[in-house]
Amino acid sequence: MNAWLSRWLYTTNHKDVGLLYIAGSMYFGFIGAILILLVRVELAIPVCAAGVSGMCWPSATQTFLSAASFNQAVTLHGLIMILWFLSPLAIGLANYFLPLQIGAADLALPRVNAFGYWLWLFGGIVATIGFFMPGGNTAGGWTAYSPLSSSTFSPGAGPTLAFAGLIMLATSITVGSVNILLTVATSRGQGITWRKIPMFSWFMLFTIVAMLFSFPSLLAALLLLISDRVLGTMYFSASAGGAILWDDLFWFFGHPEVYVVLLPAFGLIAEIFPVFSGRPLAEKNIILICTGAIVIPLSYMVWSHHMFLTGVTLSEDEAFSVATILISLPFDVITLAFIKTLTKSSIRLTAPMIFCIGSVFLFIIGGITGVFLSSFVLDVVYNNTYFVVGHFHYVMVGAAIFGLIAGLYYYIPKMTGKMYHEKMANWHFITSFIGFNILYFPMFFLYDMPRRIYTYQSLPSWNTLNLISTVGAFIFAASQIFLLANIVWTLRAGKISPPNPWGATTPEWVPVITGASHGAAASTGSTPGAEGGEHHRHESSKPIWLAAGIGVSFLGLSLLVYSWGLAVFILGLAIDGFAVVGWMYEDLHEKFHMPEEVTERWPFAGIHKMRLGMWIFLSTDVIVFGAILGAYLYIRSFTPNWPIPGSIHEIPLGLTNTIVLLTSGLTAFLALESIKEGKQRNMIMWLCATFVLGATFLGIKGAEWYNLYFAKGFTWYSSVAGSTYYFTVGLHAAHVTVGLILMAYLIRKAMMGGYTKEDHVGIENFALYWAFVDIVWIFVFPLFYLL
Amino acid sequence: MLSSLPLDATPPTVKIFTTLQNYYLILGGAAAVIVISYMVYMIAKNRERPGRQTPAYHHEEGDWGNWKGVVMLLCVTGSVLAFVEYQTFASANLVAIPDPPNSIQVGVVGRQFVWSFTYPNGYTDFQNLTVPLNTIVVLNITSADVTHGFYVPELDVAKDAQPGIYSQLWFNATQPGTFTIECRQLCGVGHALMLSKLVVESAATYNAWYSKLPAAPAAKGGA
Amino acid sequence: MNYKIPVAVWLYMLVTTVVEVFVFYSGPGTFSVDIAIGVIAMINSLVAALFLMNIRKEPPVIQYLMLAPLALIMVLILTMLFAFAQ
Repeated sequence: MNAWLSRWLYTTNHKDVGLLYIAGSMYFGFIGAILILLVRVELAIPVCAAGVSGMCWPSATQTFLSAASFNQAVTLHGLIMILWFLSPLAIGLANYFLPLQIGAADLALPRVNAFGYWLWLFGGIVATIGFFMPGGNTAGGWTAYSPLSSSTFSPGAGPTLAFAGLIMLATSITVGSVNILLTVATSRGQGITWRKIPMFSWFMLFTIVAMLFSFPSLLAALLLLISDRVLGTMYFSASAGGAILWDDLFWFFGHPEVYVVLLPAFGLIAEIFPVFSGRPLAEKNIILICTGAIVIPLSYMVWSHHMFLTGVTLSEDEAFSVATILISLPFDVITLAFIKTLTKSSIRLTAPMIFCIGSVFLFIIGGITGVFLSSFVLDVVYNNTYFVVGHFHYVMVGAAIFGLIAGLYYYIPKMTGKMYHEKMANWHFITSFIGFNILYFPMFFLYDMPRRIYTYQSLPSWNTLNLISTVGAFIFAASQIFLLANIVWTLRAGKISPPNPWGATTPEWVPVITGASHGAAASTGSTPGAEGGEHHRHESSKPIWLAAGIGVSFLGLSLLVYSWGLAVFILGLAIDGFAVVGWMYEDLHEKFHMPEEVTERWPFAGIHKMRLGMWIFLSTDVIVFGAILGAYLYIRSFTPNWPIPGSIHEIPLGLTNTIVLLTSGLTAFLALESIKEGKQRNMIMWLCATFVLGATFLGIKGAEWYNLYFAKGFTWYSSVAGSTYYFTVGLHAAHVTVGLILMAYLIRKAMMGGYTKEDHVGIENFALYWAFVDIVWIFVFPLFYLL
Repeated sequence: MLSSLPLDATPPTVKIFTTLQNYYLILGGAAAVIVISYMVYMIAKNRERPGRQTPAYHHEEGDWGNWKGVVMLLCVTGSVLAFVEYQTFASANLVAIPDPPNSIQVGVVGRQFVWSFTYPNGYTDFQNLTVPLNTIVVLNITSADVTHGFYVPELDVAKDAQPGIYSQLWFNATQPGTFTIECRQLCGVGHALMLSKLVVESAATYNAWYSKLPAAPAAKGGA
Repeated sequence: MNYKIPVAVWLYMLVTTVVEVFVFYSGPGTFSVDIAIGVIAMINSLVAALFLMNIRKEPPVIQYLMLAPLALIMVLILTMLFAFAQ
């Protein structure tokens, strides 16, 4: 394969992956923008009705966009912009600069990083393929409320594909979060203590913590939804509040998600304000404490303010209203600290600085309108109207995008080695700022216009405001051409930039570690890859293959309605298998080896990087299983006529299986103990025992299911009790299966002599994982068999 | 917090929402204006220009800055926010569901894409919700299929219609007239066209209309 | 080789799981039996975490790392269960 192509497809280098994310996010941002421009054209004028003067669409069926197209456009606009534009842009910058800022050679797990990227990209492609399916793509809003998102009310493969793409994205993010957390924990260069970590990296760390426990909830919700759609389970169609179940699981993710979108921009402001004010960031530690408090626990405690009118109890509304007020307090402190950084200063109004100032300006407006929405009484007036649309665009576009654009301009000299055109950037800001406000400010006055309506009947106030908003949309969209033109101009004709054009003091500009490895190399943004022998590309083809395989599997799963869907699904699994085996092969034969570095470790000293990674992964799995068990408890508590305990399941068989699994936990532990004493043969023996016991567990489970399905007619589509049992136990069984695959790898590696008394972290990690699987079963067994 | 309300309690009217809105608007608007002006002023004052000396930065402030100032800020902001939140709680008392004997209970069912209204005598109307003036009307809202949002913008009446559960809200119309009922939760392709009419008539007109209704539910025309 | 702890833990879990089942048969579906089973399950998971995952030997930062999602999930589940006034 041609070298350029293989470089970009197989790279695992953080700078390359960062650029891939930035380029990919721009592409999706463009699609999201086109979708909403179509929507704004539709909304610019009302539909004709008696007594209407002025321009209007001839009739409800003769508008610019049909209702179906409009709903899809609005839905995909939201999904794409939030998940495939805003966050990945930040992740791209983080990929490029976080390792440089903390003196790390690369991210902790480079192949996993690449895998995360391709999974994200293919997820986006899978989600957008839905447009081409009969019936079109998902059209129930990016929030995908139940039961509208069920296969009854959104039939067809299109929505299923969108949700599959989302699952891929959620997995990508979870995997990426573990990676970045590991990097900050264990790969900091020498001398980079926590105090010395620059602000952008701190804020990315906070962003990751917000992602870490929220995306698993989305993943759980999506798995349940896809199961409902494809397998016929009845989680969200359960009467007595199936809709609220989705609301809770989704918004438990959805609220921290908005901080995931916002915090990277704040991190950039925290970097850029001091540099261009010529003074240190004011109250830096207080800002950090406030952001930490926002992320955990506050952002996880406010989600129900999205559900004020859904029919939950008044007490719930009250509690979450108070919590929402509380979370606004640290934001006040942070904003004022940013502004304080502008005092006793000497401000240079370069493009990064101007965009950051714009971001703070717009955040103030957006944030204050958020306080309006914290009132569960005022929400009666504003809920699901354009007031909300105005609010979240002020924070997500105004604050977040302006901040991210500032970051782009700030870092262009580092990434390209050249300086951008300052005047063009000024024009970019002026036109964007004006267009933005013309587009979104009118929405606050449309507080009685419902969201997501494809057309409206003529009302003088609505007509004018919508028209103004549409004009603003086109101005704002067109002004982004300045950014693209600037990037092109920079690459072609930009002046060579000195290593530190801004006079910044952080390590990515002024490396603190001399003779450091390739990541923190002092060469100034020479074209990536041109750093000669120092530039470790450490390529691997397995990440992109694994991501592709997962994409194909999901494609097949979503298209099971067609006869060839199963074939596609199996093809995808085959590709997955090939990629996983290849990945393991690379490990077994040490073909992909990252050099160990001397790093700052506190407070993670004494814990091996891979074991820390396993702990972090398990902490996300706690949320997935917790959400799924929570869904079970919720549905059960609100469903009358649940089967009497003991009437369906064979308890002695379940007990036997539990004993089998617990014994396998013992043998796994003994395997670890053996290798700690260097007894390789014993370890292999205990591992094999664990494998046999694990396989026995699955075998007995299979027999149980066979009996339940055929003899008792107890299936996952016949009752809610069936749905919850099969899904939960099935998810657990999938974890057991993964454990068996891991064991196969471990046994193979052990037989090659790969584990010794000193180095057996793979066995440690497996024992941890297996103990976790045991613990989940300790809950699942009584909850489903005995209760 | 559902305290029992006396029979002549003031039911929610647009006035309550407008008053509450004003608290937030005035305080929020003032905050935005003050902070933004201060920021713009600081930028104008401190921008680098030829001949301007860079001011000395006093390092004793350090990373903790003026933490006492921060505490004071939190107290001030916290008080303002507590004040508006208190207004919210006070209003909530007025919009909570009462159980007054002199109210009219109407069942509202949202279905793709039409609202239906079932009166106490069992009659179901698919066109309008007709209510008398100055009477407390309690709506029991549910959905027959997906989530809808019952919404009368001009009277600030709104609640989600969820399948499988009943949500209540009450209102008291003090002006006669015809108001639009809209759907405020995306429910499918007909979402924008799921419109109905709220007709508020004098008690006499209403009673005359109501007494002529067939007692049995009307033939169902909708899906 | 330290057999004692893992075998002791394993025997403990076996016995308590059997006890769980016997408790179940003593009064399937009754409230007190449900509570008893729940308590046994929670203690067992704690034992497994402490002795099989050996979380007691990990640095405190790991212990907090695992405590955090547990706390968050409890908030989620409790909020969901009390969603309606029933």
